[in-house]
Amino acid sequence: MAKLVQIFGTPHHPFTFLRLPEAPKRRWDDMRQKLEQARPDVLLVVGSDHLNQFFMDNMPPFVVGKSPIAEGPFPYERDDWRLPPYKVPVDVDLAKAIICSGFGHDIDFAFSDEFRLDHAFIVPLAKLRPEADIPIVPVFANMIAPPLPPPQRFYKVGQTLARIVEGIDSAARVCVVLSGHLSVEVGGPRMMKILTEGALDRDFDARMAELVGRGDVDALLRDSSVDHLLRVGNVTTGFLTFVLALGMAGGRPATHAEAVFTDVGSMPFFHWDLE
Amino acid sequence: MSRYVVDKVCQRIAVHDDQRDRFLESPETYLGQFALTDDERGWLLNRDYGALYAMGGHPFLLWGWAQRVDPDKSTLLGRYTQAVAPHGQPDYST
Repeated sequence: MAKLVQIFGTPHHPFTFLRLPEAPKRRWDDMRQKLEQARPDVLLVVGSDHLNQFFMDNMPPFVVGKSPIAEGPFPYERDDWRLPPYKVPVDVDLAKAIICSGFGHDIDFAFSDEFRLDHAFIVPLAKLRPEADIPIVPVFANMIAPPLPPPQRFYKVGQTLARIVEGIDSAARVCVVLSGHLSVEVGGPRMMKILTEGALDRDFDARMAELVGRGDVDALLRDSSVDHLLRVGNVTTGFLTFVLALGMAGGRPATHAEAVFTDVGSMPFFHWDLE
Repeated sequence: MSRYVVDKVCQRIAVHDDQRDRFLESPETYLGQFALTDDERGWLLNRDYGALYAMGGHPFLLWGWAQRVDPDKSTLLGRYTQAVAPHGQPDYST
């Protein structure tokens, strides 16, 4: 059976390739080495699409990308944030298996044969595997356009993805990469606070990292309600990807969980070693 | 009020360079293709960030649009946050 070996929860700060402070640089280096040592055959990558392609005309909560090639970023992300180009094969068989098996687990994944990867995918992929030589399966989650799925749904989708992967008749070693963020506001009044104070809500960030670290599912689900996340910051809902991560880990405490504070905002670094 | 249509205008311009160029070339002509109210059209033409934010325009899209169309990037962050500050956190769901 396929084996889920490691889970990485990372930031996708758009300034990562513009001016990355030293502390997160070291965490990225550490994670890149861990991924290398894990020898994955495929990466399951979970992130949001920042309204670059999936829009309110037809917004899917969870989408599996299944075209043979995945590519990004969007041109403005390349121009404004200097994100590197990234082009990688998709493990189409695994993508289809996730979609088909999802039905039996009461999760109806949408799918797409035409998509592009934005910074939620390009940042972690280019930092963790710049060689772009490991096939991926991208899963897009709506964390930006309300109404959003509640945290309980993110957790269940995470559990389901883990069950599906581990039920596949294959010797593949699968690593999971999920990107998101802690407290953050974009386009709202408190956007400036992140740049002047280094974080929108340090207490929130530290608490959520602690809950992930000790695998406190009940508290995490309670504190990750969409209403609460939106009160903390208008796009703090990007934290929900880490609720999904904890679901994939079966509620196990993280091997490493940390909120790293920098002058461009707080950054989450979570890791589960499942071997 | 057509929050969805305002979001659509902002999304197109924020993500696609050709749409941004068409908007900047002739804003009134560009906006003519969308079912906006007179107020919404005026707010977009005048880059009235406060009014667009207060009506529930998606903040992520509004900021992306503002970055693409504002003529003075060096002062944009300060002017933008000042404009939206009085309006708290409006519901931006469509």
